[in-house]
Amino acid sequence: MKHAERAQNETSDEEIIALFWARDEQAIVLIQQKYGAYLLQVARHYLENREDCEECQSSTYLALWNAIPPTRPENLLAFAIRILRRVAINQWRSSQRKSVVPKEMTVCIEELQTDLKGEESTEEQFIAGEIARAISVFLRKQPSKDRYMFIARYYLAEPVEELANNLGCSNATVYRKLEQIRTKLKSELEQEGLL
Amino acid sequence: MKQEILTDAISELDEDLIVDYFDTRIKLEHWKSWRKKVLHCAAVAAVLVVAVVGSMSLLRDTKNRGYLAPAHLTTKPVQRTGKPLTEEELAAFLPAAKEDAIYLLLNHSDDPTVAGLQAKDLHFSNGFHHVQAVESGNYLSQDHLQYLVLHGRKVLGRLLIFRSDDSGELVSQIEGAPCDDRLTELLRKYDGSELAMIYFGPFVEAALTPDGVLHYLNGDTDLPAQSDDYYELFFTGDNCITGID
Repeated sequence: MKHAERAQNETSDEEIIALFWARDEQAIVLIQQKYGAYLLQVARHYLENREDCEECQSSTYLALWNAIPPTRPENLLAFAIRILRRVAINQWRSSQRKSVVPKEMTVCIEELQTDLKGEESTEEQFIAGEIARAISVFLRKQPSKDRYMFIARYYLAEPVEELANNLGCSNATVYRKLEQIRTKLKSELEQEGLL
Repeated sequence: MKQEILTDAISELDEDLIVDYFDTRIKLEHWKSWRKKVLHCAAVAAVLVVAVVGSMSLLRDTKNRGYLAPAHLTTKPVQRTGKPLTEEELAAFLPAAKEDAIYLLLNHSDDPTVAGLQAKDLHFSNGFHHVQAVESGNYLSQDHLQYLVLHGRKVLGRLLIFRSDDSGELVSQIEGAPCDDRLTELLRKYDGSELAMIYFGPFVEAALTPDGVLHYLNGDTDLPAQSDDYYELFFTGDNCITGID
C-alpha cells in the first residue's frame, strides 16, 4: 500500500483510465508502475507459485484492458483488485484440480474443457449473488475496523500475522474478532434464509 | 454451502467495500507511523529523564567532597544513630540537654582520617584529633556528625567549644586565630586544659574559664557562662565541655 500511496503522487487514476479509454498501451505501463507491486503482493495471498502470481498479474492487466472501456471505474485499484481476485481464484481452482489429477490427464481435461466447459448454473449464480448482497449489507452495518478485517482476511486473503501487525494487536485477538464477525454473519444469513 | 459458491459470493462483494478497505488501510498506515513516532519520542524522553535523575544523584554524592554519605544521611536525620550515653554521661549533659542542641566532646583519637576531616570542616587546624558530638543525650555517630558538617549546620560552623589538651600552645597553633592580650592573660592564669575556647570560624571568639565566666576576646563585656543571651555553657567534667547554640 505504501507503494500505492507513493505512486499516487506521480500519476492519477483518472489519467490512467483516460489512457485506457484512448487505447494507449502506456496505461498498462503506468498501472504497473503505480500498483504493480501491490497487485503482485495480493496475488501471492491467493497463489503460492511466483510464476503463477506474475501470470495472474498479467492476466489482470489484460482483463483491465478489455474492461476499460466500456467500464469507467470510480476506483481503479479496487476495480483491479476485483479482477485480480477472480483471475487468481480461477488459477487457484485450476491448480487444485491439477494437484489431484495426473499431469497428462490434466492436459487432456483442459483440452476438453476449452470446448465443453459450461457456465455456472443459473441457480448457483443467483445464490452467490444473493449471498454477496447479504454480506455487503451486513458489512456496511459493522464498525469500520470489523469491515476492514473481514475484507482483508476473506476477500484479499491476508495472513492473520500481517493483519495483526497492521492493526497493532495480537494474532489471537484477530482470530477471536474474526470468529465473532463470522458468528454474526452466520446469524444474518440464517435470518435471510440463505443458510 | 458449497465452497465455490461462497468464494464467488465473496468475489461479488460491492466495490465500495473494497474502496472502504483501502481508505481504512491508508488511515492505519498513518496511525502506525504516528504511533512509531510517539513511541520513539517516549523512549527518548525516558532516556533523558533517567540520565538527568542519574546525573543529579551522582552530583549530590560527589558534592560531598569525595565523602559518599550513606543513603540515610541524604535527608536530615531526626534520630541519632550512635550509641546512647551512659547514665553518668547523660547526667553530666542534662543541664544543657534541649532540643536541637549540639554538644561536642573532645577526645584524643588515633584515627588521622577522621581527625583530618573534622579538623578541616570544624575549623580545627590542629591540636585535636577527634571530635565526638552528643545531641539530646546520645552520642552522634560519625556519619551523623559528618552529615551535620557537610550540610553546614550553623551551630558547628559558628560555635565550637572544646578543651585543649595542649595547654598553653593551643591558640598559637590555630591558624589565623588572634592571640590577643586577653587570651594570653587567661592562658597565663589558667591551665590550658581548663580553658574552653569558643570559635567563630577559625577565630577564637571567647574563652570559658572554670569559674563559669565567658571571656569575650573582642573587648565585649564578660558574661556569666550560664547567661542565655548568647550562649549557655556548662562544664561537664574534667575533659568535656558542652555548648549550646
